[in-house]
Amino acid sequence: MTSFFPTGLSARLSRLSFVQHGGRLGHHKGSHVSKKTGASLEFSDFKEYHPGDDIRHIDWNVYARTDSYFIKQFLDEQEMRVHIVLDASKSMDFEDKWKFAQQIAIGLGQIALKNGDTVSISRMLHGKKQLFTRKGARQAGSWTTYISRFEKPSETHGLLDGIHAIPKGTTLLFVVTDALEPNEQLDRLFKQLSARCRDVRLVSIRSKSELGPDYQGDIRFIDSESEKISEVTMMQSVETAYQLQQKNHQLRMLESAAKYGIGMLMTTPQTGPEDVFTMQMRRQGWVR
Amino acid sequence: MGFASLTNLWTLVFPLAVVVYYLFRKRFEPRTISSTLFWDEDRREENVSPFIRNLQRNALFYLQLLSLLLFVWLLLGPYTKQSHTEGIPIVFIVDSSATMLATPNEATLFKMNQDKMQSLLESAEGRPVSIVITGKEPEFVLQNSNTQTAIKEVNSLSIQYEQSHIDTSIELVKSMYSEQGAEVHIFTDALERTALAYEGTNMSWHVHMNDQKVNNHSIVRFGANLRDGQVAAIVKLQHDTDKKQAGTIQLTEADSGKVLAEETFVGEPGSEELISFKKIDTDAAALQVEVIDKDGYRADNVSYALLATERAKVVVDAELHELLKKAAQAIQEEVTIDSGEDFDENSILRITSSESFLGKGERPILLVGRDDAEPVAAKGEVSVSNDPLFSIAAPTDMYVEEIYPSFEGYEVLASIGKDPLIQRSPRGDIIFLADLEATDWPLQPTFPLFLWSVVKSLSEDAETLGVFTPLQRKSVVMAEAADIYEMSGSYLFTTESANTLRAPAKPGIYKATDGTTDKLFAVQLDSSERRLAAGDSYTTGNLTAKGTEKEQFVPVIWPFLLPLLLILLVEWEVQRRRGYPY
Repeated sequence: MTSFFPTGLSARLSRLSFVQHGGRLGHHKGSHVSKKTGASLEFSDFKEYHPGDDIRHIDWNVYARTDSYFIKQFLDEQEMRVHIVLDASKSMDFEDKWKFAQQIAIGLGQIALKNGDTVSISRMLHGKKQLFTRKGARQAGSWTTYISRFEKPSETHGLLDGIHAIPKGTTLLFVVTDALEPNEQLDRLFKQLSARCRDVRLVSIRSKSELGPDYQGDIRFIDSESEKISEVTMMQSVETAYQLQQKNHQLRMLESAAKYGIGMLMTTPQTGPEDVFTMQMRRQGWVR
Repeated sequence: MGFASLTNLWTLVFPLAVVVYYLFRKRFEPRTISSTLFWDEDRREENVSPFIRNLQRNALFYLQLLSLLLFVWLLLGPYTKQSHTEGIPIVFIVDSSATMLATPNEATLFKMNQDKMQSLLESAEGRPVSIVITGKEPEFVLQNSNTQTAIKEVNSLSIQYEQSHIDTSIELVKSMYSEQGAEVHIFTDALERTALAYEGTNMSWHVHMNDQKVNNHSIVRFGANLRDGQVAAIVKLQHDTDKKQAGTIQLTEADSGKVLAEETFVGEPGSEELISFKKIDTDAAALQVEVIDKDGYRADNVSYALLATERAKVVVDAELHELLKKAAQAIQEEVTIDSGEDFDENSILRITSSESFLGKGERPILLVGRDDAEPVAAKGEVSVSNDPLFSIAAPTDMYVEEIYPSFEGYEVLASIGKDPLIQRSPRGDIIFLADLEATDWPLQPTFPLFLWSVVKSLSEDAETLGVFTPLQRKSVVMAEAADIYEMSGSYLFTTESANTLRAPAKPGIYKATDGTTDKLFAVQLDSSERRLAAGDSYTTGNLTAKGTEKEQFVPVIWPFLLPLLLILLVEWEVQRRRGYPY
């Protein structure tokens, strides 16, 4: 297990925590400071009393000094529910993408578990949805083991089918995918994801030869999912056309993501999991 | 089994090309990738219609089916019916004699006729064309050919200078086309209507003649004589002109071109004029005389003369063998039997048995036997040397009973055993060292031939072969087949045999070489070619033949074969791009 997910990285991840963008947290008490005022010990603000406010919160010391009613507000601490949707379509099983996706899922889960939050992961397996939920820092080990034992992806369906596996009340939704789907489908996916959860973050993984193919000669490309065939004679112009296609696809994807308020992180197995968590996610403002 | 057209074997190129194409086809390396999303964006339109997709997937099948169907179609042997007129034959009789060089306007008559023929041919599309070149032996340059070839052939016709003998050509054409019917065009300078006896023939005659009178000075005769080392020449001129036209006439050496003398002539229209050159110092073998004047016909402005070419009269001694006299008379018209008269020894060829003539005169003689020596019995076989005298027939199986003693130092031409039989003196006399009575030679066919050779070589100047008309064939005495050269030294041709020579067509002085001796000969225009005639063109004859309509089946192969090949090509392009169907 240690070779699959570096222990050094686990230690580093324990110092990280998710940054909350969405307003709504879980109903359960948790360790995350909510913007709502609540019953935590942390002081937030003073506020003038208006009829209807809880009179128990009136700061009598202030009343004694100023002769007017002030209400002492405290921050509420609530639990976060993190869910990870792992794309288990065949296209993920290309070069080192699948392992990398697993590592990302493990890492995200560990961050959540260390903070005492509930984390769940769902994927499609043989046409059925598989859901796995853990809570508490002690569960980090079983979480890692569970995910690292995932078999190679065999699905030919897109992520849309896995939408229903997302548990209700998810406060933070991570989608780990390669996003190798036509823009129209992605757009629909984004729409449904945003309906399910306010804070959706998409980690897009592309392998090296997907980003910049370096094939030679005449090649018959076979699509791993649809088994569509595309015969190509590699040339500079063809490569350029490929890059252009990819660029267009990416731009349109980012556009749809922005439209539905979905966070996007483009990464590649080349960078390694550490870099993703400590640098890229930090830069995105996803973790702290 | 046989093959109708093995030449079509070249089509093997196509299967070979296909094999080569196959060997160099594109071989796609299959490779599974995560997604072809970015690879086949531009092929999206192909996936739109299921019909197109079907066509796309089974393209090879459809194409092969199509080509097979076309192949079956071809095997059915498609054809179309075409009818075309088998035209009336058109025949050109082309006068190629020297008079066609007459130039009434800018171009020669011959060139004008060529143009006329060309325009006739252009309007005679689809008719069989024959072209006859006139001459003593008329020749079909082209027989029942198409107009395209005829136009090419017409352009390559050339003047033959020979007398036209147009009636021979007319007879030839008549014999070939009188039944079938033909349109005959005769291109000449002048032809009487009476020459065309067209009764009973189914032909029309179109005679294209020279309708313009041509001013012409012609050298009718030119003779030159060598006497005491000096040349006397006489030229007879004929002036066929409209008005008086004086001019000059030039006598030159034929080989060096050196001008020897120049005279003027008066040039009265229609008159003849004699001009003589006297005491000209030259050692040239041939002379040329030329009218230095511009007239409409240049070919007869030049004439040549070989010096001392007149034949000598043959004089035979009365006491010689009777068969010798008969043989001499057979080969030479002018034979005189010497019964004691006086002859100018320089102008005769003497055949004698008296060796006293060996020293007389300047001309060589033929000496048969001796009268001052006694014969001795001959022993052995007859052997001959390689001399022009024996080039026709060598007297090898002659019987000789007794021979006379030989002359010391004379060249031996034939011998019997070790003794000379025929000798030649340094002067050129031929000596037969036996009495004809003592041999059986006069009874053999080689005897008159030998005599002919001797007379020929002795009576004519040894350096010349005489005067020929263009393309004339004559018997000559040469050791071997002779090479003919122009005076400038360029080689023309080699004669077919040693004894006959066909003169070149173009007038001039030529040189014949048989390896040992050079002999000159002149080619002169025939006297009939020195006179130009003119007349109006006319058409005569009765042609009743009509063109016959012929129906023909024209196989239609190419319009189908080409698409077939094209389909094969497309098939391969499909194969190359898509590989095998999947």
